Amino acid sequence: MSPAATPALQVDDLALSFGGVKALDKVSFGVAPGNIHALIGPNGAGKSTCFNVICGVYRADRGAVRLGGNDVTGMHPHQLAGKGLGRSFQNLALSMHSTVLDNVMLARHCRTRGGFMAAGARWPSMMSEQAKHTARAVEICEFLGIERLLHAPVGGLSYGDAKRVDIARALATEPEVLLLDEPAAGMNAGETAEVAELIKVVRDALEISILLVEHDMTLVMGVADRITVLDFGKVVADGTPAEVRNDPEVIRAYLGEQE
Amino acid sequence: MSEGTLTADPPAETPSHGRRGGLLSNPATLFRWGVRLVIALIVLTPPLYFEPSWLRVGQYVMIGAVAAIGLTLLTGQAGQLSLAHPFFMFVGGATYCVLGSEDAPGKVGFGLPSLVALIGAILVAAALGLAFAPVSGRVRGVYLGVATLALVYVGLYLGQQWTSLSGGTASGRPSPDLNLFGIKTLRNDPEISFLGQAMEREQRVWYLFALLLLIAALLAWGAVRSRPGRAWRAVRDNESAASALGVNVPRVRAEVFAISSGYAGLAGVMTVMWYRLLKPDESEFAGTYSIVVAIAFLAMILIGGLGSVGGAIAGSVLVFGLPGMLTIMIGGNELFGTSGANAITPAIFTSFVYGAAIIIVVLFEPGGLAALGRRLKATAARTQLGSTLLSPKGS
Repeated sequence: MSPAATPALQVDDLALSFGGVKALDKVSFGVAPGNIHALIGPNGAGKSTCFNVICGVYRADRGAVRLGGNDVTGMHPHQLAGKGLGRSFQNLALSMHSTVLDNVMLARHCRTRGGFMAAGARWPSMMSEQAKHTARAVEICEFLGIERLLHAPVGGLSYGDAKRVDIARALATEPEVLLLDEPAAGMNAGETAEVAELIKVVRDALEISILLVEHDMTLVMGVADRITVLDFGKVVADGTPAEVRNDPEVIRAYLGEQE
Repeated sequence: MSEGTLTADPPAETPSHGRRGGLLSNPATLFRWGVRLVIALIVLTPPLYFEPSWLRVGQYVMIGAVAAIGLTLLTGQAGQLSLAHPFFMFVGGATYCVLGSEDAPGKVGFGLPSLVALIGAILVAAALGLAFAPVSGRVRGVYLGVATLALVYVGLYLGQQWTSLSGGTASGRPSPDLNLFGIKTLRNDPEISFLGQAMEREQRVWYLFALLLLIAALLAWGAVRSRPGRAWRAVRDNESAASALGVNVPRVRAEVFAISSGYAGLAGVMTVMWYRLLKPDESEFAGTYSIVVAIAFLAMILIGGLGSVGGAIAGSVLVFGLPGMLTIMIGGNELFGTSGANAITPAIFTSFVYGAAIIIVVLFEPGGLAALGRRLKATAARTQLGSTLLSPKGS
């Protein structure tokens, strides 16, 4: 959108090998502020590896990750949450026995203080802080349309609602950049359309940047402002959906040889 | 189902979370206060009416409850299996004696005020729990259970060898009296009476233990319901998700282990006061700080419902309370008329009962007694005011 601005997320020259396999090889791309950016590629292209390097789960052999101009290379996942990186999970990874509100409140952990004694003694400053953060968590749940489920255990929710809890939780870290790991995995066409709508609404309302790793091409083509295509750990294309769709390299690598 | 469209603005109507209504208008609130009243009566009245032998059973239950609360936080809330609880109890009890006793021939004592010794014992047990972090941070599940089991053996060995601290297995060392703001616990000094009943040793210990249990339970409840509890459950359910949401997983794992050990340390101090003696075990399979006790604590939290503070207390009533109650009720030491080596003693009978209780819990109600309690509460809420639309209860 605005090429002059510092990218919200910049990946520079990442390389990572597992044994002899080059999972990532000189991977570079940038997510512009306010953009919905998709990272796609056939199975084994290195999408998930790249995602995990950005999240701090894997450590790259070489290269750098920058978040809004700050170098965050090699930081632990729990440090990144405080630096404005939020992520959702493909398998949701929610606490099934806990309530929706409890799950979303977890994301306020890095923004709040207070250990066992303060919490146990219900220290007034901690309680008021908690009330303030609960209000924000409720607000985020309302925004995602799950406020009627606040006190319901997550285990009993439909898949679609649980996905919303997952996204609510990621948003509750107040991210500048939101990473979505295959948000449409296991969804039918109707649900996928719902997720697409949700992603746009989130971006527009919160003015954040979104990077999604996705298999579902209808979702990607529908929502992404820009697409980076990986194949065998290398970037083979980077452009708008229209450019990527017509790129012969992408067609060959990803969409198939003919047509 | 869901509408597919979302509004950026919060909805106009104010959401009602059904949390705090008028005090008596909400049946769930009424039920909660009813339960509190019953508990207060159970805790406050027995010293006025019951024989000292019954009071001692109750005191023992309270020791088990404090230890089980610590374990349910660690195992139930944070998902770390531990069999090391008796070790930390022993550490707490020994530290209390060392800090609180005067120096005596062959026995080290610092002669500190007893309240300082009590707090010191909790802190030393917690610090040792923290020192175990390199192990508890790396080993998971059953393997952690086995690793912690090693500590029981360490405690056994140290207790037997380090007699200047532990007093040795032959004689042990006497428990320091707890002097709570001028009121001694193990002696009638000063003499007090309450509602016409003289407050002697067993009455005093009862009220002291009830106070300690109350503090232990309130701290645990508060923590479970807020920030630390959320972090524990997140680490239990999915470490990578917890980490991505900003939870420092190794730190949380170490903290909860230390907290749990502190609870065990307090239970150890209570144990020493209960026996009026610190006495190291002679065997790892039978004794106050043995493997059997570690398993008894696990039974308590399983029967009570993993992670539930109230359930841990209820579990202790069954596991630690039943042998004593049966002994008093039957009169002698044997049930069903058998005697000698094949006698079914109350302790053996209890192990059958809680063994059966564990099987029943695992098969029919994995939530344990806590889940039964929640169901009872929900039923109470429904029957009294059927038309009230209560929001779904929290867990």
